[in-house]
Amino acid sequence: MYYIDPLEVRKLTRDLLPSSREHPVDERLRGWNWFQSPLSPYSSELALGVWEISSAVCPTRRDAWIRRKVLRKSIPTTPTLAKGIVIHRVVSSIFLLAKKLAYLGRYELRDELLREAGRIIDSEIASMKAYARSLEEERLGEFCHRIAKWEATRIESKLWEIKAKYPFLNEESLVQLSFPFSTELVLDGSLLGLSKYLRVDAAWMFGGIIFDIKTGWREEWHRVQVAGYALAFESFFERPIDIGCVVYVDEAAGSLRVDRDFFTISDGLRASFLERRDELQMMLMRDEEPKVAQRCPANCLLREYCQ
Amino acid sequence: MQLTEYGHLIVDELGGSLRKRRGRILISTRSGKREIPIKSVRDVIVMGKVALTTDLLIALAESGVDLLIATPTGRPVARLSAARAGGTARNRYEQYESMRDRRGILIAKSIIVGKIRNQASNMRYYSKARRMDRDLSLMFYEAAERMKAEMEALDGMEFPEGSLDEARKTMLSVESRVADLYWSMMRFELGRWGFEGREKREASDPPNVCLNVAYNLLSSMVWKNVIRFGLDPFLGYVHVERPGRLSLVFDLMEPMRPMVDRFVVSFLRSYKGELRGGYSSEMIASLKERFFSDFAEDRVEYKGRNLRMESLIFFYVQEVVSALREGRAPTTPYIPW
Repeated sequence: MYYIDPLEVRKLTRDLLPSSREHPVDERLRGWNWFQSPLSPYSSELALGVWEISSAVCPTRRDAWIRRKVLRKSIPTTPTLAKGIVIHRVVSSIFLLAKKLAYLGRYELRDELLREAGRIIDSEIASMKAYARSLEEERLGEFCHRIAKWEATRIESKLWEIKAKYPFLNEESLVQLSFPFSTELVLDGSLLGLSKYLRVDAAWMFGGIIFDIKTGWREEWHRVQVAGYALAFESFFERPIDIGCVVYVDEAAGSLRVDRDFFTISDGLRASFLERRDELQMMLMRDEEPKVAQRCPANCLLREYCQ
Repeated sequence: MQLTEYGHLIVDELGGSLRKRRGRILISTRSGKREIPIKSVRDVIVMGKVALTTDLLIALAESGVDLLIATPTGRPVARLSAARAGGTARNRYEQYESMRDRRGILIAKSIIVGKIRNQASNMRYYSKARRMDRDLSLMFYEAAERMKAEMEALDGMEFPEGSLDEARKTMLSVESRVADLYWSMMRFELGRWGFEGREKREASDPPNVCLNVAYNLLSSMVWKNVIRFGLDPFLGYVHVERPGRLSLVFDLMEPMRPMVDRFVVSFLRSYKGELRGGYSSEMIASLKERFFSDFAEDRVEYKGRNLRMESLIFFYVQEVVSALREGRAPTTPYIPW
């Protein structure tokens, strides 16, 4: 998911990185300025998730209200989101196991990774089924197996590529070069009124890129979500993040399609995230129940709570 | 006299002269002489009283350098531009035609909606800046919400083609309702410097004086671009035509006024001089300097590009021209935070 191909490297070096240097982000919109307007949150106690702030599924944000005030637990709003959660857990568990095995000096990873993926897929689908009854288990399971096969093959190939290039590397260096990004990066977003336990799908720390996996159609809020993680990262590490990437994973002609959308995390995206955060915080702080939307998304899993 | 980093030559001395000397501007004042290459100047803004030679005027016009004569408070009085500048009759023709069809209404609506959007953005900004005072912060937030509701309602309104006069009345009533709320809230930000309400003429409190001067300077920046694109500055969509009134200039600066307001608040906060006894000429001089060094250089994202305020005004006027030609609503500049 996170290995960049040569064409993307060219796009980054010739287009996005120069343009982000030429048009730098306004200093006031960097996460490390969390203590002043417009970054400072209305409340430090009301900690929100980046996903629940940015997701624009319900037009009146009633889904967030139901999660926070009625159900008091974090559940997905649509089957697509539920599907996304399963995919993202499968991918992260594969990377975690691959690193563990590489540290143990084992390089024939594919079969073991696939076994682990199979176990994770079954348990994740079963737990997600409790919330999303309309989830097509078999189809999703098959799709996740395809993703696991593809990812496991790429990881093993990358590991061997590095090993062949530098045969005398120890395990530590080998892991660093084979996995140049941190997966499941935990951030404390409390300075920005966000959760203390934010988990970024992946971050390429040295290159300043944040990755997020999504499935389904491209939507504007996917980029906004990455901007939210970038702000949290900047507030936590005091290091700039200028580039974001949404990795779209979808089924295509019996196989899968992986498409990476690289973009600069502009002032507009940052401001849009902050505006949504403030609106959601204010709505919850003032205890204002949002109206039922006139045009609900057809596949909303929380419909029964609105009727 | 001051030459900013981006080529604004501001002349506010009393006495002295400006003449041409071997491709340079020779400035002679009581404090001495200085030569500046014409190539490094983009605008000459004369706010003081100096003598100018015709040789210099010709050289400026030929080099495409704008010359603006303004009062000490920045109100534009006269402008020298090259005889061929703004020679695009087509744009003027479309502008006149648009008064009779839906384009005029679309542009007028985008101007008012854009202005309210930026005013609401200011309210949100101050709401967070004042978050230590929970009640006041909430008041700002609620004002922003009300403005947003007004803006969305106006944005959703449909006006029949050719009804610009009628549409203008509706739009102005919304605009004035929002303005009342906006300025009543701005009292909490500006009140400590004696601001009791918006005063356009004969203002004596520092905030109103600063706002008037900064709006004047903004209008000169917009005016320059209106002429550059060959539009008629006297024919506006929101401001009705009145002899001598730069209606289109006033129209197009509307969405940018809230940006100026925020600049003025930040200027007053950081101003080190005395303000309790009212405004002073030092304050105005400092404001003018900061306007060109800070406000004009501030970067705002517009249509996916991070632009300096000056370039933004250029692209915004260009966008209005494209809208006129293509019959769609122009994108108004917006500070979303």
